[in-house]
Order: sequence, then C-alpha cells, then structure tokens
Amino acid sequence: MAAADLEASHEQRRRVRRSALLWGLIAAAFYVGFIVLAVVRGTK
Amino acid sequence: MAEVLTHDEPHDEHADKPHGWRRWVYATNHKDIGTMYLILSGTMFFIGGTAAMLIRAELFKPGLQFFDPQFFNSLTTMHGLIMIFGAIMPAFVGLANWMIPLQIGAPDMALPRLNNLSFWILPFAFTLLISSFFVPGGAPAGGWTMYPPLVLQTGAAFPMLIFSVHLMGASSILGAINVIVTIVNMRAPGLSLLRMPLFVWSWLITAYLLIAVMPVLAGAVTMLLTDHFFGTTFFTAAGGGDPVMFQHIFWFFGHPEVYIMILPAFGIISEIIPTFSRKPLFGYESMVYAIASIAFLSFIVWAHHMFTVGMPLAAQLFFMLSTMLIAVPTGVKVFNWTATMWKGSLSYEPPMLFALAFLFLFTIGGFSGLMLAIVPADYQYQDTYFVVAHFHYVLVTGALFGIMAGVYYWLPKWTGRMYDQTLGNWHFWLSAIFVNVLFFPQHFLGLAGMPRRIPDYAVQFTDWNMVSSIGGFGFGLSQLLFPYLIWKCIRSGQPIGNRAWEGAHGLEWELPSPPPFHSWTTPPSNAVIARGAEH
Repeated sequence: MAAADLEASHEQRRRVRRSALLWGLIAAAFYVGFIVLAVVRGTK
Repeated sequence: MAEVLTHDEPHDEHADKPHGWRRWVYATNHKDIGTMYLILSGTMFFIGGTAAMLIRAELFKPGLQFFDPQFFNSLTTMHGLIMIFGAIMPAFVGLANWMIPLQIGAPDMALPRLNNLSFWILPFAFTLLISSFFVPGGAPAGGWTMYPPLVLQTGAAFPMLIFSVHLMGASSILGAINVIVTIVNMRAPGLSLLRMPLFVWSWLITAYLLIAVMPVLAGAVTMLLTDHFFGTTFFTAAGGGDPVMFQHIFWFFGHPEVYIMILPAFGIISEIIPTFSRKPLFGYESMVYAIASIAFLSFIVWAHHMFTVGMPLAAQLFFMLSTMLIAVPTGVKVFNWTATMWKGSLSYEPPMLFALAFLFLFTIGGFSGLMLAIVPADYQYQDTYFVVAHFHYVLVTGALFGIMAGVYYWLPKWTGRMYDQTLGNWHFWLSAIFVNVLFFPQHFLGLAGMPRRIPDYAVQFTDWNMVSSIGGFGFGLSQLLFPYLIWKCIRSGQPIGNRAWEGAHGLEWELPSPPPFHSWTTPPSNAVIARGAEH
C-alpha cells in the first residue's frame, strides 16, 4: 500500500472514530436523558 | 477465528472467510449480518403472520370460535409488535447492511463489531417477547401501543415486554449510528451526497429519525415500568398523573416510526422503477428533498392519532393541517415515479410488479390517511376497522411490498443466480389479489362501525369479515412461495453476470454476482462511479 493510501486510510479511520463517538454520545444522551428526565420528574 | 479478530487488517490480506458457526456468531461482514437480519425478519414475518391468520380465523364469523377474548387480545398485540419490530424493521436493516456498502463503494460498514452487536441483541429480544405467551397471565394484551392504564394490568409478561422493547430500541439505535457513520465517512472518493443512490439517501434520513425517536420510546416504557413497580404515577390520574400524556409521548415516537418503516421502501422503489423503465429517475433532487420533508413533518403530526382524547381546537387544526401537508412531498414522489415510467421502455419482472403494486396500493393507504386526518371525520373512524385497513395498506402493500420488491431486485446479486421468475410472478399476483381481498373490505367494515381489537362482532358485519378472512388465509398461504423461491434460487438458479437487469445502474451492479466476501477492497474509479451514479 502506498504511503499516500495509508495516510488516507488512517484519516478515514480517524473520521469514522470521531463521527461514531459523536453520534454515540448524541444517542446515549437522548436515551439516558429521556429516561432520567422522566424518572426524576416523576419522583418529585 | 483469526480472520474475524483481525478485522483491522486490510481486507485483501485475508480473502478467505471464517467457516461454521463462528462465521455467523462472530460475524463482522456486512453481507453475513445482512443475511442474518433478513432470515430473522422472515422468521418473525411467519410467526406474526400465524398470529394474523389465527385472528382472521376467530373473526371468520360471529360467536367465539377458538379463543377466549384475553388470548385474542394477546394475538393482536403480539402480531403488531412482532411485525413492526421483528419483521419490517429488521428487513430494512438487513437490506441496508447488504446494499449500502456495495452502493457507496465501501468495503464494509464502518463499525463491523457494533453491527454484530446490533443484530445479536434481536434474537434475545424476540425470544423474551414471544416466551411471554407461556408465563402466568399470558402475553401482553393491551395493544402494541401499550396504552396505560390497560397495559399496567399485564401479568408476569409486563417486565418482559418492557425489557424486550428496550433491547429492540437499543439495537435500532446502534444500527442507525452505524448507517450514518458509514454513509458519511465511507463513500468512495468522488461519490458526493447528491450522487448517492436514493436507497442510501432514504436510509441516511431514516437513521436520523431512529436516533431521534427511539429514546423517546425508551423513556415512555421506562415510565410505564416505574408506574408498575416503583410507585410512580406518571399515567395514573389518582396520583396526579395523566394517561393521555403517555399517548402524546408514544405517538411522538410512533408517527416517525411509521416513516422509519416506509422511507427505505421509497428508496427501494426509486431504484427499481428507473431500472425497469430503462430511464433515469425523474427529479432525483426533488426526491431527496421530499424524503427529508416527510421526515421533518413526521415530528409535528403525532396528535392526529389521538384526536378523540380531547384537545384544544387550535391543536386539532394544527395537527390536521400539518398531517395534510405530508401529502405534498408524498405527491411529489408519486408524480416522479410516474413521470419516470412515462414513455419508458417498461418490462414487468417481479421487482417491477411489486413496485407498481406499491405505487397504486400505498397511494390508497395515503388517501385513507388523508381521510383520517380530517378531525370531524376521524371522530367517526377512530378505533374502527377503517383505521386497520388504512395502516395495513401503508405497511403491507407499502413497507412489505417494498421489501419484497427489494429482495426480488437484489436476490440475483446476492446469490449470483436468477430465480424462477414465473414463480415470482405467481407470488406477486396471488399476494396482490389476496391482499386486497383481505384489507379492502375492512374499509367497509370500519365505515359501518365495526370496532377494532374485538374477538366478536354484531351479525351485520359477517359477510365482509368472511371475505376478509378468506383473503387473509390466501395471502398468508401464498407467502410460502417466497422462501421456496429463494431456496430454489440458491439451489438451482441460472448463474448470472454482474448486471442481473439490463437497465440497472449503480455501483452494486459493477461487482461480480455474488459479490466477493470482501467487496470494494479498492474504491471504484471515477469512471465506474460516473457509470453507476447515472440517475
């Protein structure tokens, strides 16, 4: 694999990791957020 | 096993594949996971279909024939849950797994291990859900919408229901993250967003919908759980709660969920109609904007499911008009599909037949949806068989026919063999005729006042119920042709070349049939992309 290809591949992996983390955090925040909000408000 | 665990290596360095059970349990290959999703979906389709045929058997004539009312209610509830979460959604995820990497020139999904987890959550979720038939009190019977306070009367099955819904939601969210990350990052160089196939576009938008609304469902069922076990009173009027609040929260999830089940079908139909019309898709960009508009509008129409619970006049007007607004982008799509066929060189192979049936019959479901959007009319239709007829036209002749069209379109690519098209035609015509015999009379029953979710009915509804049940048995039995056709195709279909259909465009048709275990190990060239991306 040429050096340029290798660099492009690494860059793609970095982008995949970044966007997976971003969307994972958004989804987790939604998921946990809704449940916590619901339970906290209900137990007041 | 080493092949699986060393997935970070470039794919072309280990072209061999794992064998035996490890290939499936440790699967990280998008095609294998797609296949497993489709097999799970098919299995659930026949389990949910069995429940449907039992329901139609009970309703064949008045008087209780076979079941007590509680078990009948369990059947309707489980039929809905299994078909929505077990048959339709996993089928689209399976198609996404198979086709998105092939269509965007990527070697695999971006997150293969997450993909494995997303799939393997589901068999446990459905085992848990279906096993609730065998616990004290029986399976959940409060309807797939799980409205309190009725659902809170569920017996030992209640926590099983809640946990299985959580598992399904988690699986969907993980799958959606994977789809977004794959489409955003893994497209071949040169394949810009507006050159992507519409199936990919439809799934990108669907994935955003999933991430937005699945947590809402999780929140709603968690509140049910705490009401049931921890003394909260979210939905109990006696404790200051409000059962109508559940309906608002549920339908804030539930209406986008309808589009989660139909947008990928729009994408599939947008692939098939140009292929068999031998013309580029009419209005590609407007199709993308129409899908995005429908997705946006799906968030602001939820209360049309619950006009009769009572709400301010301004709210009724808002939800009525916003619902009617959806007809505009949907009309754009129907117009564009029709315009694509205009003066085309049409041929009628099974994928096109299912796509045409989709076009006609989904439109009937859309029109009855418009009728239901009109508040004063909805007061009459609410909770009648008219609603049952409406959503089955949307979900059976819409979503399910879309899935079947997709399988008939891409099956030769997956297997490298052409299926028996005569058998496919038989499957289509039997399905198309019986599905109308099954569901069209339900419009009449609803307009005459027959309520849904009842095991018995007044004698004046007998004739159309008999017709509907005969259609149900015919439709159910004719589906047995489908797995037989697939089995026969795999066993003895005629080998085909790269392009199964002469009018097909798209990167998937540039690969051999079946595609190699690791496809697009080097991205497609600009020339290949230009050829594939002709819309």
